[in-house]
Amino acid sequence: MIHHNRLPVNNCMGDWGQNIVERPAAPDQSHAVVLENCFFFSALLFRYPDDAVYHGIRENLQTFSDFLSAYGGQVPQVPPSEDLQAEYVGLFVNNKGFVPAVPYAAYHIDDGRLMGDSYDRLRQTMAETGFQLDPSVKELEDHLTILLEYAATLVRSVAGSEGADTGGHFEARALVEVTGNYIQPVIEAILPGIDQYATLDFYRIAARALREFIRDTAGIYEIIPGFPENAWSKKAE
Amino acid sequence: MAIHDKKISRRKFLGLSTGALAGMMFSPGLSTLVRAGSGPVDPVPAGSRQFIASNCAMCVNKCGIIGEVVDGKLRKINPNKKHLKSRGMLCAKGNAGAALPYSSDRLKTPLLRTGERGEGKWKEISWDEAFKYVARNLADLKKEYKNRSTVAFASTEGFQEEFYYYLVNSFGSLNTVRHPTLCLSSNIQGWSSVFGVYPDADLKNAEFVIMLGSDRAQALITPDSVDFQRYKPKGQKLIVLDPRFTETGAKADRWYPVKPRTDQAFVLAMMHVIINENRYDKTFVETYTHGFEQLREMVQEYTPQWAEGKCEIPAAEIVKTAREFADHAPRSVIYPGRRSSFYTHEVYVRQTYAILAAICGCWDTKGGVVPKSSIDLDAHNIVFPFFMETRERMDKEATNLLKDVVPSAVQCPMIGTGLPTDSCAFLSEKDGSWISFREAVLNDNPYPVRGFVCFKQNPVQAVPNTAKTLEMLKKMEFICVIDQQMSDTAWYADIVLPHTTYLEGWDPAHSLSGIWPVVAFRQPMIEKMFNTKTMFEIAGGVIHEMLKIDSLWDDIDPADLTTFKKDIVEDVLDKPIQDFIRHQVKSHPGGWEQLLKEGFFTTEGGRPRYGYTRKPGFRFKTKTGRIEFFNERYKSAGLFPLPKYCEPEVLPEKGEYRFLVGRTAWNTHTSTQNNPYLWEIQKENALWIHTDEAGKMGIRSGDEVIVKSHIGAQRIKAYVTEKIRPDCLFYVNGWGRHSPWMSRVYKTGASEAEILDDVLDSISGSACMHETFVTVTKA
Repeated sequence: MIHHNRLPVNNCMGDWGQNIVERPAAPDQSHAVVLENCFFFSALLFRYPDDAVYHGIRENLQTFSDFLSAYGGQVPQVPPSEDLQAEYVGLFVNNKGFVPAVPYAAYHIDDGRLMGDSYDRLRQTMAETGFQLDPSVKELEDHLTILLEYAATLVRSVAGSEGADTGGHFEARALVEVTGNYIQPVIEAILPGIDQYATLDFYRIAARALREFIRDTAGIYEIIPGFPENAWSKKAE
Repeated sequence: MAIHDKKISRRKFLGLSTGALAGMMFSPGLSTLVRAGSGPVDPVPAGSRQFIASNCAMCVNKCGIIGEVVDGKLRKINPNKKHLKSRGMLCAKGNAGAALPYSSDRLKTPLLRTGERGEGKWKEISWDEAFKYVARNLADLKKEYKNRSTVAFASTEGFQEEFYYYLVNSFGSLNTVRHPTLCLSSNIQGWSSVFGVYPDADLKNAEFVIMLGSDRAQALITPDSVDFQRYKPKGQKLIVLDPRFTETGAKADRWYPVKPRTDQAFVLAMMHVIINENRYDKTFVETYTHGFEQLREMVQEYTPQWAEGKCEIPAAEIVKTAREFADHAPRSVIYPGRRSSFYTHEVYVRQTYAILAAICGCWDTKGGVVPKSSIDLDAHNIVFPFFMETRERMDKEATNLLKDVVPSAVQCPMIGTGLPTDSCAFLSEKDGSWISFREAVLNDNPYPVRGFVCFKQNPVQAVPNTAKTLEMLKKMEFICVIDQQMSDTAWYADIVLPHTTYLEGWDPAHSLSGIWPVVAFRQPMIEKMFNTKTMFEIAGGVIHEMLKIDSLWDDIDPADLTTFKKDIVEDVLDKPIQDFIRHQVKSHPGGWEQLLKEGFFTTEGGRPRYGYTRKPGFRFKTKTGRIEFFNERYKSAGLFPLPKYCEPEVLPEKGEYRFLVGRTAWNTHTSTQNNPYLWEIQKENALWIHTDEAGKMGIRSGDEVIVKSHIGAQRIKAYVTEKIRPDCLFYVNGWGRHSPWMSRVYKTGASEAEILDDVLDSISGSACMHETFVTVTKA
């Protein structure tokens, strides 16, 4: 069990830089696309299932069945839209007096408050990598779904920078930071609440899949074309 | 986390069937992020530090606050040292307000119920959908019942309540029900029966102060709570009567553990002494008052010895207190206090207090009891339409409501014949009466109420007898709650609209009346974090949707509708709220700028206001235009015009205790217990039980006990103490919520509303929260 409150939040690598000894011999661009899509699909899973998101999940569930099976142990049934929405609200948005699975990273990283210092650092990183939240979205940047989408965009940036002089080093470091120091603390922290309070299996399976997937990403990043070897070093440029 | 071996950890991933996964692309329409060019965008402000003045909203006091905002985030709330009303003080609640916007529990977006009521199934909807839904339901109810008053509107006080009433008046229901009958209605009525108004106390200059049942050290009221401790004049003497040894009692020169429900006897006997010893202010009485001879005659039977038999305070102490009060007059205060929802005869109790102040001339003068002054603001010239399909408020139109439904209200023998049996004698048209209103709804008397719109009130926990309130909600075809958190009442709603916190939005200016009147407002300290709106915006949104439904406007003069659209919608609701505020303060040069800078402004150099009712020709708001000892309106209504002593109509039986309510300085009723900072101060409530009584039952501090009334039972830990009379029990409100989701208070401590009997004071309509008898047993 990770003690997320003790993560060295100023060290963007956290524990993730250990044991990296080898890069895959032949980076494959298709792996980067798959990785990006896995992140984006995960973002959909943890986004409020309005009509567009709900259909996005349903339409792509079969495509991602291997992903869900591999990491979550099974492919969840997608409940009727109204049930899934109610489940989402009850777990992640509002319940009576508390939220069983708070989806905001700062809440878990800092002191149980929203928009703590880690939130500032995330926004700074987002800005420095050229992204920002769509102003029409009334959410905080460290919401799990936005973090996952951000990770997806960073994977694309890193892979797309292969061969460039700067080599996507900054984006790669951001990717490591966002997954290790933001997404992972959230999913590790909220999984017990989801397990306890979920009335349907959907988010239990999705959350378990995400946790296992995130735990593995440290190794997976190595296969992204353009992923710099020194991305694990906080002194990397 | 186990640090997975990298090679192993990517095997699963590499094992995925990549064909389809690599070939797909998600719709850009699903993205929440935008790429803003190649360079850094929207840089986070670093190092910015602002101090923004506003006013607190954690309770009713509206104390001055300064928000310390660093890089766009509220770091801390400090007291406004210049604020006249709060005297530079900020309590724990005010400080803890900084947690509100950053609470994960807050409501974030409109929610529509999709399951059964109370089942907890919701879906997110847009504000447009929410406004349409509310307007459609209001229209349907009007159409079905052909009576706009079939929708009831409940609210608590606050700056934005003004705009809630825009919505109420735009729909046209007369059934509004506010918080005062759970708080201070009887106090207002009792004092107003004598002076025509409900006054303040000048604790900053009083030499002698009597507080009966007021715990100003815990139930904070500014400036009083500050003045009586920090700014009291040297030598000020404080006398406290309370069945509990409160924090205020601890600061008193003398604390009398008065027998509950007999404070009036103590004060009547004081008057007996003061009048018979000619210690009263004859000039004042002759100049300003009406009915002194009837008063003199009435108090003859109320000797100190008689009072001792009632209130269990020695006669000699009563005599001493009476003489001291008169000797220090006019700088003597019998403290009006605030919450008075205690007993069925409470109006007469408060009338008694007011008369004591009057006979000693402790009125509208330094160190006495002083009518509130206020600073005039420019009102917006708006008139709401007159709707034909509106019936009188139900708790006024109902027949036999009190006689048949709340029999305890008519049992007070002193009230006698002429007691109202249909409606409360002096019901406030706007406030209503929660207890009688609920009974009327439950009995469809005189017509059905099937809609309920609730703004920041939590009647499920706040109104005595929770079971009845839940029954009332079951009768509703439509429930809308506007709040900042998922309250117990919101949980039973059909739609929940999230209100912006007081730290994120603008609130209109309000004149805070008092001896030191100020004008206060609120401005945003931080940017709005979620998809919330203020009542100003919600009223505008709903009213716009209402205007699209013709049937909502078919019972008014078309000319009224034209005026309504122009004066209210276009000129107020469609404009920025800042325009509204600027208009309010336009007669005060520099007022707007002062509000922005200090959060408040005052006039006349902030000097205290004394004496305007002592000027020749002043007419008090009583029937005679004078200060009335003998109340002519009460006489006309068939009530006793003088505050004769009222014997308790019901007494505890053997083994029963009188249950008392009260507050702490770190929580506001039922609304703040989940605040993480305040929860650190107190994590649960406990039952105060006297050492002797506990000993008889073998109860020790920390033991679990069951407190039971005929309404319900609660389980709670005992606190064995000599700080409470043996015939009383007490625990503070706010815990023991019946919802498993109230994480910090569920199954911790006990709920007050679940055991309180719903007893009514039929003169003011106030609930009587000290008229419940309970038993206690070891769990």
